[in-house]
Amino acid sequence: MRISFKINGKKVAVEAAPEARLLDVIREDLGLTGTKEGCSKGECGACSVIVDGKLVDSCLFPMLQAEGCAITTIEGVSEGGKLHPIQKAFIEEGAVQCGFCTPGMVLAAKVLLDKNKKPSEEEIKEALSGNLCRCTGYTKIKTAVKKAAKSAGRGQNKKR
Amino acid sequence: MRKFIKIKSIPELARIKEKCVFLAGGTDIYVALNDNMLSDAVICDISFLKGLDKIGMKAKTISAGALTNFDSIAKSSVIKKYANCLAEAAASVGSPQIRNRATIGGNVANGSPSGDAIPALYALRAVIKTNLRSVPVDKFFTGPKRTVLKKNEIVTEILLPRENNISFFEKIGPRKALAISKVSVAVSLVISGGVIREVSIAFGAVGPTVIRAAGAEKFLKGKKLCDSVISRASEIASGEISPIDDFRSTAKYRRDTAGVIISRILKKALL
Repeated sequence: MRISFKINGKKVAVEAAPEARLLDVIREDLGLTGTKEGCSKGECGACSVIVDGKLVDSCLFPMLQAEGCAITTIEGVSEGGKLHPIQKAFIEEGAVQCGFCTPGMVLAAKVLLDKNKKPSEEEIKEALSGNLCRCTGYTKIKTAVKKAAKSAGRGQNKKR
Repeated sequence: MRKFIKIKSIPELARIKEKCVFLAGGTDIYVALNDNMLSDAVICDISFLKGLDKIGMKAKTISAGALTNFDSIAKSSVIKKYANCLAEAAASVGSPQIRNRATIGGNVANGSPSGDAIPALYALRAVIKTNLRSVPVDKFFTGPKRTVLKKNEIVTEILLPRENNISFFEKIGPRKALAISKVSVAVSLVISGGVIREVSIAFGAVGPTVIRAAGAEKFLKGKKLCDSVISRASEIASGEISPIDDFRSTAKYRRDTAGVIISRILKKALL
């Protein structure tokens, strides 16, 4: 069936089976391979994307339910070739080792910071609790999210 | 061959000839599909049904539509006020990603003995409404992953009494997020003048279905909470469950832990 939706701000229509996983359509049909497949059980968060403002595991998401949705993948996070503050902070803090969890981590952090400009340590841990990292552990990732929150705050002050 | 259909209204259910597996948020069904299970199933997507994702309040009841997701339940001020143990259970489900998708109706219909919402629904004496009938929660589950739901019958709404209770939920697992419970407990109490008027204690993951601790409930009713009453009640309750040894935990660990959680919860009620 033909399914239309928005991905990273662009309208697209794909031919897909209704039960196809959003993950496969993103990677195979749209060629956006930043979204990773990890456990296929909703436990690792590597396939996380944002659907209508909510973080979801795309390995558990039926295409049928994607009709009319606005979806953001890691490819849609930078703007005009400029890295998002979260991406910058991940690089600066060394919060990336193998990188497989990074797209999901960045999107989980984005959903958090979009709503909560000054998250507490607990709120950061909670927001990232659906994303597994098997390399570095979480200390540098949390530090990066805190740094991104601070730099975004500064950015706003400048505008004022 | 697997078939995939969707319905937009309840009456359409009666017209479906095949026995369906129902899909809402997909957090159980897609795990099965990704495991190459359900290869011959007819999967019916009910997520497009209108009006089943609302939390409501009437004079005597609180209601949650079957398609209400756990994120909404965990954050609802109505649920927090009248069904706190359900809000706590909902907040403990899976991860943010899972709570944004998983529905209370799905948790109930899937009928896993470790389904997090289920002990809370027992403690709150919920009624499960389907498209055909209303069933008290303690008559709804018949075994692990087995319920009274008949062919093409779906859960439509959860009803809870609106009463001045205090209630809590706790679970023990290997980690906080994304772990299937080894043991979970929900307790609901109605206390007036310092005396326990009503109490229900429900355990998850330690039997084929959720279990009520009838002996401990009987012991507590009419008493004032104090340290000695709490420790006796936890002893009675942990003796009433029938946990097993399996790959998640041992029977002994589950029994000991169940007692610890009960006393922890009752101490919270004391505050």
